[in-house]
Amino acid sequence: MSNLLESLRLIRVISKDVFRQASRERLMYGFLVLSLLFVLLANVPFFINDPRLFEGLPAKIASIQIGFMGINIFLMLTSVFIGLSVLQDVFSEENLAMLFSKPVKRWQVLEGVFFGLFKVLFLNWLIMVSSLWMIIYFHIQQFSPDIWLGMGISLFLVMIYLSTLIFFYTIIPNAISGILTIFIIIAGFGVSLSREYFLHFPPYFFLLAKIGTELVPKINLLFGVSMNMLGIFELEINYFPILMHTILFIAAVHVLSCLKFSRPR
Amino acid sequence: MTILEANNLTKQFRQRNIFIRNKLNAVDNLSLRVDRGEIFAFLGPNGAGKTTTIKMLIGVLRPNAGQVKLFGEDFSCRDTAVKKRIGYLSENTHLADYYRVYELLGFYYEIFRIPKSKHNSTTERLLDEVGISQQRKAWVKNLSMGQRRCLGLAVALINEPELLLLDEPTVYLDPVVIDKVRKLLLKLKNKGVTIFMSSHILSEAEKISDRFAIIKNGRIIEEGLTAETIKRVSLEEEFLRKVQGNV
Repeated sequence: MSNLLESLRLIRVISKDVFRQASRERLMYGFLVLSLLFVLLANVPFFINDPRLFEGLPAKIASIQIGFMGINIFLMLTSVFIGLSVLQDVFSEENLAMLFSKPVKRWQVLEGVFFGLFKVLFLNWLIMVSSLWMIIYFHIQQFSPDIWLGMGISLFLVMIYLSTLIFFYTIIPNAISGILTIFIIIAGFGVSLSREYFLHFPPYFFLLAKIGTELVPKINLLFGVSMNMLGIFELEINYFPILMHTILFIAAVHVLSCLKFSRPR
Repeated sequence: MTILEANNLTKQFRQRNIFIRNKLNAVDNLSLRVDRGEIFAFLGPNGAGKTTTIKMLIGVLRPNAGQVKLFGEDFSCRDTAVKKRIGYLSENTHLADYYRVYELLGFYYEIFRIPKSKHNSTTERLLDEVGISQQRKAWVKNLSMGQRRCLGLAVALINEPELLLLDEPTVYLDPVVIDKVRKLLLKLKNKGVTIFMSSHILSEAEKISDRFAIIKNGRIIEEGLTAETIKRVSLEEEFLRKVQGNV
């Protein structure tokens, strides 16, 4: 128990350091400003209330959709690019030598990096969602707690992006890990499609393909859960198994990363 | 009592590209022993394997063969309890430049779990010992190379280590600071701290080391007592004779 508490303490210390490092990234502020400009566009449906625009959706829903899109695009970009920049610095040979000569385990450094980056992205998310919420509150004078719940799914997505990026970085410690992460994200969007495609193959092949596609997070399904909670398109989705699948995926990627990274060169 | 012992340490690095695939022996079957309270100078030309050896001794690199014993017990890379008793200064001091000097020390205090009540007094003592007390509130990025080196040394001393591994401790330092560092190392030695240092500055090694070893191409080619050697010939002459003579 004391070992676990000590590990958590060290992870917190390293995450604080990573948070400080990531907060200096100018690119992140650029992404944040751009995302806020995008979120500002959520005002438009309230000003131009023409049913020909936004496919006849109510202004609130159209507004949420615009904000939803902006927040998710920029969270993805920030996760991959800022994550990559911080990882390059933390995983530099000299920095690792400095850290590992201290009583810190390798997996603690890895988890510290993850939580440090997550903290930074959480703050970004908080600013973005607060802005969207304020815009909607300003126009309809309702508290709309569903916005927080629906946008909360974006934090799961951030965890997937960061975990995947760190996993690839433990294997290929350069910018290619960022490209691979983006590939995984794109693959995640295409999972349902690929499963439909593999259905036409012989059963044993489909089974293999099913296992393969199960490994990739169903990012589009997560977006579905998010939209369900936001009340967009009146979707009916059983979100519990999807969230459990995501949590398992994140945990599995963390275990694999720690195993890969735990052996020194 | 033997504090540091390396037996048959070997480290190979793979050199690989499209056309070439071979292994480079950075350290080859290296054995050495350092006793408590000793200053051991680890000398060798560039690329001899000094830094690789030190990185294996502190568990940053994994040897392909051989074993390391620290404080009389087998040491593995994951042994964090032993690392609490070690101080390390790397060759290229990597210090996070987004901190002020006292904040950076604060980061390492947290790692070593030093109580907050001691932070200020320890910072003052450490910075004074390494001669950069004026830079307490300076940003790390604004420090000169020499000052960074001193700060790196302060970081290595945070946990009051019993074993200090220093990779080129006096590089980038001016003569005044070198003198200060020399006195500090001798003070630590008198307190019973064991010091293992690699160096290119042979006059320094001559002044403070008790024993020395010369490494070339990953192998120890000479080992001896400094005091006895310099009765016959200076350490620099001995070094040149050995390094240039054994091709």
